[in-house]
Amino acid sequence: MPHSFHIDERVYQQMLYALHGLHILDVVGQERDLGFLQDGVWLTDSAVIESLRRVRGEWEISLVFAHYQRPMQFLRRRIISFSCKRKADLTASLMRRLAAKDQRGTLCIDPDQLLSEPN
Amino acid sequence: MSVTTKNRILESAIRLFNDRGIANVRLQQIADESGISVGNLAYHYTNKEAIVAGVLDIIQDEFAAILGEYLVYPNLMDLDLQLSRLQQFFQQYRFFLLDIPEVIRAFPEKESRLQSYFKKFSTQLRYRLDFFVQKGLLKGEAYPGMFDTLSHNLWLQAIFFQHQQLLKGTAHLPVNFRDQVWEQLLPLLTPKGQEIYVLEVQTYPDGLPM
Repeated sequence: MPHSFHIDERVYQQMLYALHGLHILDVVGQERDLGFLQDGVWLTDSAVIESLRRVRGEWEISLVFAHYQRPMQFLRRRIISFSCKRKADLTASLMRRLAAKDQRGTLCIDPDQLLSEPN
Repeated sequence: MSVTTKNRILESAIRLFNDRGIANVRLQQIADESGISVGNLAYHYTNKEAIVAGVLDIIQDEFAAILGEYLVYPNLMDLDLQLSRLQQFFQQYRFFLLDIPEVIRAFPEKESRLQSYFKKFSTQLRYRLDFFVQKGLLKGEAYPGMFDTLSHNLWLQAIFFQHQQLLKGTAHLPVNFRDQVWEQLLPLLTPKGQEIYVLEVQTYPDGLPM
């Protein structure tokens, strides 16, 4: 005979009450709720720079996304690691071309701007 | 196909139980209604208790499914939908509520599960009232314990609606307990609740389309 599932009466009441909370908390969304989309818009105009680092015996590929006018606004993401440097080099190059808005690399950052950028 | 025959037997049994009550139905009648021999019937279900147990399993599953539809929509329509489904369910299995003491006596092992469903239905009715108050659709309690009494009355009306019909005759009662429940809730609705009632419930006087 299959074991029948039993839920205590008080627990059941608490569950119903929690369910109410779910609906009461439910409010109409605001425009600012989609702000995260706006926050990431600068990434579409970013220069992508690949970076290779030796980490725990492997070559770790990171991509740095830096705004082409404000290079201090940047984001770094670790992508993958390889034990072979040549493979890591090739993959990093492909990754950069895949992630960059312009595959030819015309969007780039000026190192001088890094120095002139206020903290 | 064995499954089809089994289903046919259960469907025939439900029809006969509804018309005559469990006690007044014999295996021969179920076999005749199913269009099979008693021998064939006995192959699938050894006795009437096995058939009743099979029917009860179907009923319990359907009842559980209806209870599972609590607050699918956070408004009055949700209660109306559940009431409509319950009404259809009680209509489809008329014998169930009318013969329930007999069922429990014959199947004591099913008693606790059945009781838990009825309790859950009662709890849901009570908590729905609180929810409607929270949503501003229902006025608050005029005195402490008012909603306890009200939800209990609504529960009684739903569960014993068929008994009332049987004892008093249908002419003395509303067509269904869904209307009876709303008749009690209407004076307690806030202006916002009344507006939503017209929009969501009155639009479908015969119950929500399912």
